[in-house]
Parts: sequence; C-alpha cells; structure tokens
Amino acid sequence: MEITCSSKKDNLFIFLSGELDQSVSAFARSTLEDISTKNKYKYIIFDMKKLSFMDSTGIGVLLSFYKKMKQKNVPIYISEPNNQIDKLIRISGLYTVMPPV
Amino acid sequence: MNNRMLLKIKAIPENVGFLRNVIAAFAVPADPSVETINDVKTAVSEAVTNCIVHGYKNTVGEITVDVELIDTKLYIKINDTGVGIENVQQAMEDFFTTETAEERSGLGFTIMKTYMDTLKVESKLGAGTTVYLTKELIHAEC
Ligand SMILES: Nc1ncnc2c1ncn2[C@@H]1O[C@H](COP(=O)(O)OP(=O)(O)O)[C@@H](O)[C@H]1O
Ligand SMILES: [Mg+2]
Repeated sequence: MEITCSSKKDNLFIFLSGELDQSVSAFARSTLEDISTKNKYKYIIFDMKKLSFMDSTGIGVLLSFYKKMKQKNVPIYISEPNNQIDKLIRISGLYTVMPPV
Repeated sequence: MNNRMLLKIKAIPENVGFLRNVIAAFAVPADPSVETINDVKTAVSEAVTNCIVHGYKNTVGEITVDVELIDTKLYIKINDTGVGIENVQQAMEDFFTTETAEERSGLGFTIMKTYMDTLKVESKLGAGTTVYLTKELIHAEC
C-alpha cells in the first residue's frame, strides 16, 4: 500500500491506496504517526478513493490513530471509501468516531 | 459445478492477500455478485490473519485451506496448528481481543459471522484452530 498527504488550509488530507491488511499494518501505523507529527492541521481527512481493500486489521490501525488524534482534539473524517470498505466501516462502527465527509 | 481445492501455505502476513484472492477466484465460476465476492474475501482475510497473528504469534507455521464449491454453495475450512483458543465462546464476542497492546479491533469473528451464512470454530489449546465458513453464493432476485 501507499500513504501520501497534502495540506490545504487547516485540513490535512491523507491518501490511502492499495490494500490495508496485516501485511502492511506496521508500515501504516508508523507512516501515519510520521505524517501526524510532521504537519500542522486542525482537521484530518482520510481520502480512500484509491484504497481497494481493508479488513479489521485496518480498522485497528485507524482506531489507534484516532485515539492519538483525540488527545490533540483533531477531528478525523473519511472520504470516498469503496463499497467493500464502506460496509466494513459501517459494521465496525468506525463512522461514529470518523464520520464520512 | 462441483470443485475442490486443498492448499498448504506458510503463515506469513504476505499470504493473507494471496489466500483471500485465491479463494475469491475459486468461487467465481458460481457467478456471485461483486458484494458476495467481497464478503468472502473479507471473511477469509479475517480467518487467515487470526492464524498468523494469534495462532502462530511469534513463530511461523503453516495454514491449511480446504475449499469446496458444491453447485453455488461455498464451504471453506481454514486451519492452523498453533496455540489454540482457551475460550472459543468468549473469543467470538464482539470487540473481544487478547492483543490489546497491538490495538486489534476484536472484530474478526464478528465479521466472519456477519459476512458468511455460517461460522463454526473448533479449537484445542496447544493443538490449533479450525474455522469453518459457508456461504450460498447466489441469491435469487424477485
Ligand atoms: N487462530 C487462532 N488461534 C488462536 N487464537 C485465536 C485465533 N483466532 C482468534 N483467536 C483469539 O480470538 C480473539 C478474537 O479474534 P478476532 O475476533 O479476530 O479479534 P482480533 O483478531 O482483533 O483480536 C483473538 O484476540 C485471539 O485471542
Ligand atoms: Mg482477528
């Protein structure tokens, strides 16, 4: 998978692409940590347009990132998940802490 | 169509994607919808990840997959010979996880249950775990 970012005003866009599962979970965790410490922002938006697959390992990665950002009072939003990921996020309840934009 | 596939593979994270895609490809001749295929992929991903992360924890073992397609019904058996589960009923509860440090969601079994028609788990401490998943791939439209 690939993780990139860009900021626009107070918003930090994090672009996820490829597949988010156990094989990339350590990479995803550390890259998100990196991005969140190196940038300035008030809001974070996960752009999932190019993310093709995610399972509950990905939910775990996103949840632990959410907990860190919550301490800094930074709201996180989810943008354009595909159907497979949208269903997973609904069933896991992740939308309650990371609403769709 | 009746078909069967037996597969033994190293329990490493790189094989999670391989196994969900292979099993999805195996189911394709039944002509399932995209959503059904995605459900199967997601459930398989959960079962295989559990073998690697929990079953074999700090070791590398083997995962055995036995898949059968009988007409339009898919039967999946995924086995590891790892540590086993002490309390299967508790393990299957929503949000239950023994890996709090690594921040897992505890939703693997919940997803398998929700996405497939049936889920059965057999486990023995020190001997390993077998997960049985079934799904009817075609739902008649009315
Ligand atoms: N193959 C397995 N071998 C040993 N323990 C397992 C296995 N699968 C699941 N478990 C146990 O069941 C618990 C719940 O699994 P699951 O619902 O997938 O949540 P998670 O993987 O996020 O912990 C795990 O934390 C683990 O203790
Ligand atoms: Mg799991």
